[in-house]
Amino acid sequence: MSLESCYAAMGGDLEGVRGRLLTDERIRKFAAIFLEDKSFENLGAALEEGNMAEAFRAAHTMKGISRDLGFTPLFEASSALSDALRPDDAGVPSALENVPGLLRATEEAYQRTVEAVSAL
Amino acid sequence: MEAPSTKKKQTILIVDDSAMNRALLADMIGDDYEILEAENGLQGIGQMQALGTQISLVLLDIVMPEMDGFDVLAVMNRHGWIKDIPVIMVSSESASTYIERAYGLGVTDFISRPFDANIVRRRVVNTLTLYAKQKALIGMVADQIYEREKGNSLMVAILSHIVEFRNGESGLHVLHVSAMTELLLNHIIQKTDRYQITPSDISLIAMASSLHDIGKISIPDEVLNKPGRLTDEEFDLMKKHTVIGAEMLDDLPTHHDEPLVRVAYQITRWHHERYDGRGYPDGLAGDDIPIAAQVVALADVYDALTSKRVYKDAYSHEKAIDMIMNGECGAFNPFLLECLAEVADQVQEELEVASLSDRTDREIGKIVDSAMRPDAASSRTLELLDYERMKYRFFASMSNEIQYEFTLDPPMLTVSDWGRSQLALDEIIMDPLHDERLRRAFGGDVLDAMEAALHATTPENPVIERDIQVMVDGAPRWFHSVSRAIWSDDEVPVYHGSIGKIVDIHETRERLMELQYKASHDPLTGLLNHPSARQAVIERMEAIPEGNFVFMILDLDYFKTANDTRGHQFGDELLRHFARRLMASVRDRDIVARVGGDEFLICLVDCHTDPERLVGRVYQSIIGEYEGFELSVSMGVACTAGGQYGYDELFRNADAALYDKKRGGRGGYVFSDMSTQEDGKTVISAIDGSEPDEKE
Repeated sequence: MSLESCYAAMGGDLEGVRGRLLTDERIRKFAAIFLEDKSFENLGAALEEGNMAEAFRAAHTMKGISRDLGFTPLFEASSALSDALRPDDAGVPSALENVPGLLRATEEAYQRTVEAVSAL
Repeated sequence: MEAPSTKKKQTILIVDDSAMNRALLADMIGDDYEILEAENGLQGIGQMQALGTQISLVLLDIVMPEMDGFDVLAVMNRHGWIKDIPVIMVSSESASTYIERAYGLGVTDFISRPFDANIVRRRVVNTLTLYAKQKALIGMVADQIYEREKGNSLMVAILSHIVEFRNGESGLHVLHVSAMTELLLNHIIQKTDRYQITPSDISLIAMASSLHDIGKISIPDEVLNKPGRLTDEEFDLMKKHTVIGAEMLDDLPTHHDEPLVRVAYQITRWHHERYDGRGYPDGLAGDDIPIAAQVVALADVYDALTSKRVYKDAYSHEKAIDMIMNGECGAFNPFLLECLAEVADQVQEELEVASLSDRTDREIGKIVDSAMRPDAASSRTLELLDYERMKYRFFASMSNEIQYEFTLDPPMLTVSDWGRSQLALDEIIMDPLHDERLRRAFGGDVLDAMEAALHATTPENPVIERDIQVMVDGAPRWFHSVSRAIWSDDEVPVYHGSIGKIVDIHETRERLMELQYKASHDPLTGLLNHPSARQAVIERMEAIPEGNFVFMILDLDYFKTANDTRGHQFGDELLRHFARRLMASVRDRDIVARVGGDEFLICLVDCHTDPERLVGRVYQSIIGEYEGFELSVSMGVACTAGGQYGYDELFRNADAALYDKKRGGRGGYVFSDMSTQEDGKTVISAIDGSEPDEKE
């Protein structure tokens, strides 16, 4: 699949990422590495264990990676999730009540992104 | 792309918990740099500690496990690394509070997500270039100061040499006066701050001291170099060199506000004043004479005395010091004389080595240093530190010792290579007193106790030594630990942490224990031998002074027959069996020993039951038979309550009772009435316990 169709399928920002990463070769290389990234699994495992600090870090990492690669829907979903999980001064997630909804949105975006990238 | 360079690549450390981020950044930075990676702050600090300024740049993430980016910056600040290693923060955090905090902690730049290849590369190159420029600039400024100071110093040297040349002196006089001035001033500031002299003042005064005699240029040659005694008129003329020199400086068309010129004025004018006011030209007294002039006056007199002049021979160092102390050259500040006395030995050494070139260079070096390095950790210091660290690591790996460094703030433990592999620990352990793995290896209470003991030391006595058990591969081993608490130099010393080493002494200790065991035990039966049993009983009696002790001496009857009829091997077997039987019939805390041959000893410790019944029970359980040999036992028993009798009395009386028992036929036991005296005379009224026939 071409990069164009891949980004169209997930709703990503190919133009932006080409401007930043400069070569299609590099975009393909890191899109492939994205599939190996364990942040999504870490996020699920951490939430299951109730380890909120680790969950925040995982969401935060997903946010960073998806932003770098121009995976816009995943970036937006994980960004909102990471904000909800961000520890406040007492070390407690700042908006725990929003986490389930945001988690579902992140999962959907992640699946869509993985499907699109896997077809590359 | 830049042209390939033959230069060694610069090293960039990327600290980020996401492998993908590290890969992306490394890819963007390109192949022109050596890339190191660390997946959390702790590892990053470890790399910096190991490599120091070999790292040219750090790219640092904020949100990370173990230790986050801000904590890394805090550690870098505390160690002063941030001044020598530039940091670029990389993060998807774009909140201005984060960015401000990062800059506040000394980062050079901030790259926010998403990463842009051009921006990342540009920022990295810029920071490295900027940093290289800054270093080069520091070097250039230092060179310029050096050149300027060298120029000044050279002019002063030429000028003073002209004077000396005319004076027929060797040219060494100004050097000697300058060296001694410096020496005295350095000693003065160690003893008092009453004169408010800084180290750079000392350099200045030492340099200005070379000008003390410039006024002599106007003194006629026939007076200046007259071999004999001067007439009063000539002497008055000679005295004028002070005022003339001062006027020459005062009349300088420019520069007379320069610190060097002002100090030189004081010295030239007043270096012949005396503390009691009887010097010239102004008759100043006490501390009205500037300290610079007082010190140069003293140095001038000393060097004049120890040098050969047209009118006199050279005096020895000792003679010169004596003459000055006795006031033969006029009165000096008593405090200054005290200082002179204290540095007298150094004076002699210093003046021997004083030579023009090295003095000048040394002084200039000092001035440049103080101008360029207002704060402690210069890169030179860091280099030295790196070197020391390398040495330390080498020796640590050679010595099979585990060396460590512990700092309280941040709570951090650094362990040497060998120690890491030996104990399976990390090189750097944050908050070690709460570290699970460390507490498991050393035992939590051992760690707490050691830390408490170190904390309780004093700066005068900071070392503690102890033997501790450490878990190695799941089994305890003995180590000897030597630790030294680190106290600050403050008036009220502050505990900063400790350094130390632990050495594996397991084998040595095992061997020692084995020897100790051998020395205290009977090799055949493994029971205690007589001397160690005696010691053990006495220790128990001292520990429980109010306790009841029942003391039995027993003979295995007919043992000789067993030996004779069934052989010595059977005899040995028999003794071993009997020993096991004895052990099995008493409690752990009781003492069982082989006194010798077929004679044994039992001491029941701290008994709360009627001795009669106890002894009966023991007796019943040790008699019987072994492989067809009847175990018949004769026992003498002695008791003590509440420390009434000591060991030797118990032994003597039990032994006497046993002897008595055997006389009346073997088998059974007898209680002593404790009437046996030291001389062996006995008054036995034995209470017979049992006859052999009574046994079951």
